[in-house]
Amino acid sequence: MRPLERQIFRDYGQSWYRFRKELEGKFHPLDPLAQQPQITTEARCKLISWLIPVHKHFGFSFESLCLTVNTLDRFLTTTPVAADCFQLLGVTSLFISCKQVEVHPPKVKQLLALCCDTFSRQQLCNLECIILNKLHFNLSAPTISFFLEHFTHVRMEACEADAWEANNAKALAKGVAELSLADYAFNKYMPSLLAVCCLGLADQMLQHQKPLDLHLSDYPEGVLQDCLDKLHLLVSLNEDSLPLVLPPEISDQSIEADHCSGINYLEDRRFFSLIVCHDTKKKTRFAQRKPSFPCTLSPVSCPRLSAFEVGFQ
Amino acid sequence: MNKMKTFKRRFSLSVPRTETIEESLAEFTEQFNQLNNRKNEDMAQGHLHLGHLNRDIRMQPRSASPLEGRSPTPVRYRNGNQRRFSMEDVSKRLSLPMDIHLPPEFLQKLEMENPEISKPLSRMSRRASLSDIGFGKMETYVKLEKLGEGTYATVFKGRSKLTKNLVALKEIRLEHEEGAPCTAIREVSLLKNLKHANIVTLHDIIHTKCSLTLVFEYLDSDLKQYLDNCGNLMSTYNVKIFMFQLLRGLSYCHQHKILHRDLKPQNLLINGKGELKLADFGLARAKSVPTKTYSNEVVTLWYRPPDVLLGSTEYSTPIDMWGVGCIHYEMVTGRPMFPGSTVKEELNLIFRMLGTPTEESWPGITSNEEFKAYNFTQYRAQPLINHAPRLDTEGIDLLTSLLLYEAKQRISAESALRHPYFMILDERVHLLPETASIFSLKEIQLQKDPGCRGSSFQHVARGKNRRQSIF
Repeated sequence: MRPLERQIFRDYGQSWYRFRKELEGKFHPLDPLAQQPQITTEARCKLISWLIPVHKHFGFSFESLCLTVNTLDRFLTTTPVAADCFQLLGVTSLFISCKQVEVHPPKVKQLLALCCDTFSRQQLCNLECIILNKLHFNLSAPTISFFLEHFTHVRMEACEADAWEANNAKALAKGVAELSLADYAFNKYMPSLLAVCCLGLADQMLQHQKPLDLHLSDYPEGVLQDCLDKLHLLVSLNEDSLPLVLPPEISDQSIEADHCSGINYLEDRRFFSLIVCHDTKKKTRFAQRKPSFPCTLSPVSCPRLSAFEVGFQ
Repeated sequence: MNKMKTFKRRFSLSVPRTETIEESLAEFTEQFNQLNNRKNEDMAQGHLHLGHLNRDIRMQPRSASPLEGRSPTPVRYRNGNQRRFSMEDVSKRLSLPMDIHLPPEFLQKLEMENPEISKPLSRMSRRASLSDIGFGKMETYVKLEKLGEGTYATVFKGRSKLTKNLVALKEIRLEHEEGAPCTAIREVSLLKNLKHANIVTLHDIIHTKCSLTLVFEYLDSDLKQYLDNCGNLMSTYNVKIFMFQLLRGLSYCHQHKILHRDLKPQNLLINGKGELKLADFGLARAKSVPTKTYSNEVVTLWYRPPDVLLGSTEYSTPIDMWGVGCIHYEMVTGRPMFPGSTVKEELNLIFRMLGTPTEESWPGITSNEEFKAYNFTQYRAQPLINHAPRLDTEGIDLLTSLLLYEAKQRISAESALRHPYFMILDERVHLLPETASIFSLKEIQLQKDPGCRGSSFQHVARGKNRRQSIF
């Protein structure tokens, strides 16, 4: 962390945190798929798992991705969406989020090409209008990304020597948070709770000497433990794909999810091989590959995805 | 266009035949929100049993959901009988922020029409009622004269038929290749979360098919114009009052992690009472400061700090504090501090007055490649008092702490508000609620500016040189 950043954090960190924490509930879509006649949790997982490599392909920030998912989910609570428009909704949400936080938002043409030109420019721009309208321009949602940064700053302030551990934990936590974005089971958790738990889990997995004190998030023990357990399960289900989303310095270290304690894993992992469809190796080929997305999305063909559905049955 | 209509229709599925799409959507959202609220309550009460609770929810057969019965019609795609769903309809559903201040007489009227309204309004019904009385509709506003034209927006003076108040209507064209302009999206989404006496209030948003109109509170003038009208000779007390308000608004922004990035006298609006408000948040939150606008106009460099001019991309709150210093100087002296037209000229003007930076005044500068490449003349710092003789000692001290080369050394907006320079103001200015103007303390009043030609500036303010640059 650079000195300027650190100083500004000292001045403002707490007030930024307080403000976002207050807003969090207002921007939290609880069960956006409850009223969707066509969009299933599988479809949502597939779409977000597709958006993850897309946002990386463009070099966009994790903040943009979080905002995209939030915009998408909140729009889903307002409007029933047909399955064959769902991908368009995904790229349009990405478009709006990038316009907020990126220096160079993507071009409409690029986004349309990603969808293999299934949709027209007019359609995308119109959907943009509809989304802005339905969400009443309430777009600056507090994100997991913000809270990850915040808690990382807090621990660095508390103990300067641990900057290395703090940074590694943040990088791994970001990977875990990405996984959780795509999994509908985690939709019910607030971004601040997910952020602090992702960091806690990352500390456990990396066997850090001085892990983050999760209680500085003000969540009660039970809530933290519940979220932590679910994340733990999610990570163990995605052992194979997780290293691929991590920066090299961390994925080289052996990450042992099983080192952590407290949970019985499911017996059958095959189910979850598709839980995260993103694969960084594929990202360069992404734009050219014809996605199976538009039009054909039958719920039967998708595996069941929710982590806790298996974990707790 | 027909294609588009089909497409839009597909967004609204499963609608019972008897209702229009909008009605059922509204109802649907309403119920959905209620359901959510209920769930929230459940969760809040029993968060320790989340897993348990969720299992229960999951195990309930789907049809048990109270909402299921509402939409028994199977999903249909292209139903020719359905009413066409146009953008105008959509815009009717849009209304304004929850917190808008309704004039009391309207609330009264509402209550008379709706005797049962005493129970708290849900968000949706509140929306509907606000829309009924005219918020979110263009018909509610009368366009008066044009105030200015920018690259992506035109600003009109207007009057609200509802409140009879003057408003500024910022009309943004949406028919761009790339959809809605980034600046509009940023400005609206940020302003919706900001409520402060020193930040311009966004009253209403009107979204139509090809344009977006932002309805702002109307302020007569801006700081640039104010300076022009008082012959660039402001009372030093008024400078203090304006500085305090500027810092107050900015401190609020910074506390909310919002940088303005484009502070300049044209963006500081001023009304007849002397209330100063920050406007034009189009650049806030962007990760970079552009050098050109969309139409390739050059963005002014006069208020930009040297670290940014030298290519630093580490933007944080100090970026705005430099600009505050430049504006402070401009108010005191009546002339811009560093009116450079190119980056090199701008830096040269800065260094000539404040001294060419050294390792001592700016650690690390001697290894900055850009800085080395310019090969600036070695100037020695000049005492600021020579340039701003009207400024008192505290004022010079504040100005000096604002114009420090090293970004992290620059004084923050909060600390600046507590600077001895403002000691003369009543101590209670620090205790005011965020939305209260400093003029709510009757001890604080604008003084007559020595250079003012007219009896008071607001009469002169309606000159032909209306602000052009803000928007």
